[in-house]
Amino acid sequence: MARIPVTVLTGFLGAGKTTLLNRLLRGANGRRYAVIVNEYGELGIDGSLVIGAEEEVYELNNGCVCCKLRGDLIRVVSNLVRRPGGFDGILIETSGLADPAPVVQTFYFDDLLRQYTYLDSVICVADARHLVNQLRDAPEAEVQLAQADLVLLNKADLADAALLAESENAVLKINPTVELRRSVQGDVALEHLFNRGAFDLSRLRVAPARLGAAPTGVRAQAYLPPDRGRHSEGLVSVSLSFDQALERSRFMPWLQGLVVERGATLLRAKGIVAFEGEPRRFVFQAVHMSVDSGLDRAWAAGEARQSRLVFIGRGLDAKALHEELTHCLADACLEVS
Amino acid sequence: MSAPPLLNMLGVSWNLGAPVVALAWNEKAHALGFALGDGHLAVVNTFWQGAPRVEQRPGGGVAILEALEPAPNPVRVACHPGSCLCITADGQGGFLTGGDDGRVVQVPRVGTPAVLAHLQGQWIDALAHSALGVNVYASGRQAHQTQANGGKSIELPAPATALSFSPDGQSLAIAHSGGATLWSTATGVRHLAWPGYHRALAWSPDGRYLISGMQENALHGWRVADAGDIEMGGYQGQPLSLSFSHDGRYLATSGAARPVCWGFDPPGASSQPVECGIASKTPVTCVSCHPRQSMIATGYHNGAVVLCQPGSEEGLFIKGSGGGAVNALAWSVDGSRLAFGTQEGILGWLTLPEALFRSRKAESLNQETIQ
Repeated sequence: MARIPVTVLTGFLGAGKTTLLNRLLRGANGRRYAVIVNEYGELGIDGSLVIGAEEEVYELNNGCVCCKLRGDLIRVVSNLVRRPGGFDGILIETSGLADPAPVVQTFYFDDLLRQYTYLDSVICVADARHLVNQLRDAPEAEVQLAQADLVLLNKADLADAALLAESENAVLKINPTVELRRSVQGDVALEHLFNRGAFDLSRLRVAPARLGAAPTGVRAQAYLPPDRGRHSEGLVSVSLSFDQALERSRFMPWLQGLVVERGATLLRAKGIVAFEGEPRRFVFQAVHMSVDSGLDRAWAAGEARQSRLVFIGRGLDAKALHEELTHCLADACLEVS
Repeated sequence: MSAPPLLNMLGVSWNLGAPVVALAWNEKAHALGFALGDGHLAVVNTFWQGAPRVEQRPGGGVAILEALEPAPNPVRVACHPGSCLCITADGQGGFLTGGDDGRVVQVPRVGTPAVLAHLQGQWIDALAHSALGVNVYASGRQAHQTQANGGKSIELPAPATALSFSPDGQSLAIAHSGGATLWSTATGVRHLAWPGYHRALAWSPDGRYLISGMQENALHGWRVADAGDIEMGGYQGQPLSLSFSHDGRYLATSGAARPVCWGFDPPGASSQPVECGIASKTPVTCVSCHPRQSMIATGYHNGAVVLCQPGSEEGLFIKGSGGGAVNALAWSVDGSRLAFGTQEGILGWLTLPEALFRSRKAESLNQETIQ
């Protein structure tokens, strides 16, 4: 039986989530969706099922404050998979202030949900006019951007070019791997919203770190802005790339240590890594302490065996991360200090 | 070649096209109820004229005599417009189902179904029937007795995930995030706290221990008398199917590739549980201990149903793989019949008369003496 794709819709109140949801359902074209909303809004539905659920966020009793899940989603989705005929997709709308991480982690942690569903995408809807101000005033906004793989800058017709550019830069500063789209009243072609495979390791995309593109984008070995990202209380993203292969036996314990020790402040991490002596690409992604990783396809002939890694978190130290990873390089000279 | 699965020789199955959510036997095992994902209750009459029989051969061993007539077919009853969420026997030969339409429906053995409760816009998450004849249902943060049973309600610290009456019927245990709540008409409400998300419950047969299956890939146990904690962890998956052996000597659970058995004679005597039966590439989804013998019926994610015994790596196939994960598995009260239901809508039952296990029983008794 095919697993049901799950799309998570986040975004601030008034950004246009409900409009987008209505558009998705109107364009369903005979496809059947189950929609889980925080409260019943104005949803026009034919053939699809709308379920209102109170967001119950629980901390898992595993000694980690960042391992949270949504009890209501376990209950509702466990029931949805028992319905005959199944669904073409499950759409989950989170409330305006909610951190999407517990939703994502619910689908990582629960055996039954993993067996019958998979996370396809986290889409964040942002109001192009207000995003810059919201990021300044409310930390919740940047958490949503950090977890998203697609950001829709909605109401783009109401913002001028300068404001749009400022908003886009603000998004990329927080999340350099995100796909950005401008929209008006949620008018985005459905093929951009579904079947994104954002949590599919074999489809993981990590853009090369751009030279000086985002203020904190660090091109390792080529460009290292002094002291950027150090001691920052806000969200920081660090993009690193290495042309030399990494040593598996050093990298794996390092990654494990990173998510265990800094999982609470590490919101998102992903990477494509070239290991010394390994013909296949190693791919990983993490949400707080939950890591999904594995060996992917072989590096293609002529493809640059470049390792690319992105970390998004609070108070990340770009220099330290770079240094630690340099020690994982296959030809690293480990000095005794 | 191994022998064909016992279901083919001693039982019957159907494909009803909707996933089985849960099943229940009525008290005398005359009828079986399957709660389906399409909102129907499938009632199966187990009075089977000309059913297959097991006969003891004079020289030892048994012979299986084929059925002379087909088994009675299931009867579908439309109970809920959406989906059934839970089922229990009603103590009067019929069944109660709860649905996502907020209704508790009683389907009597004879006569028309009746709505016992209706909570508009809510889900009936769990149902339970006590040995004293009390029916309760849970919806969100509340647990209710049916009107006929007094109609009392209690508020819970978090939405209920499971209900289970103590064997004597005096206390109702309700699982939720943060622990379990005990509700007794005699002693009132008591909270058993333990951090984490509790999702399944089992009482030991003597009522001294209450065990919960947790989202955190662990079990938690309470000694009910003094709320003493018992921690049991180390699972690969979530142990959400729990079943005590008839004598209370061990607890069998899902959550791994084989049934996991924890000794309760006394609890904690051995810190490590023992796995038994056949390891599958897919995990165990359901376990159900035989009500009279030391035998565990095990359902797997690949659809197989296997009988095994603690301390043994052997297994006796009831049903081969296929038909989707085993979602429900239960013995009739007297242990003479076993029923199952799967994710792809296969449901069935078979007779497993004691004669079939007589020789095996002798073996296992020897083993127990040696240990």
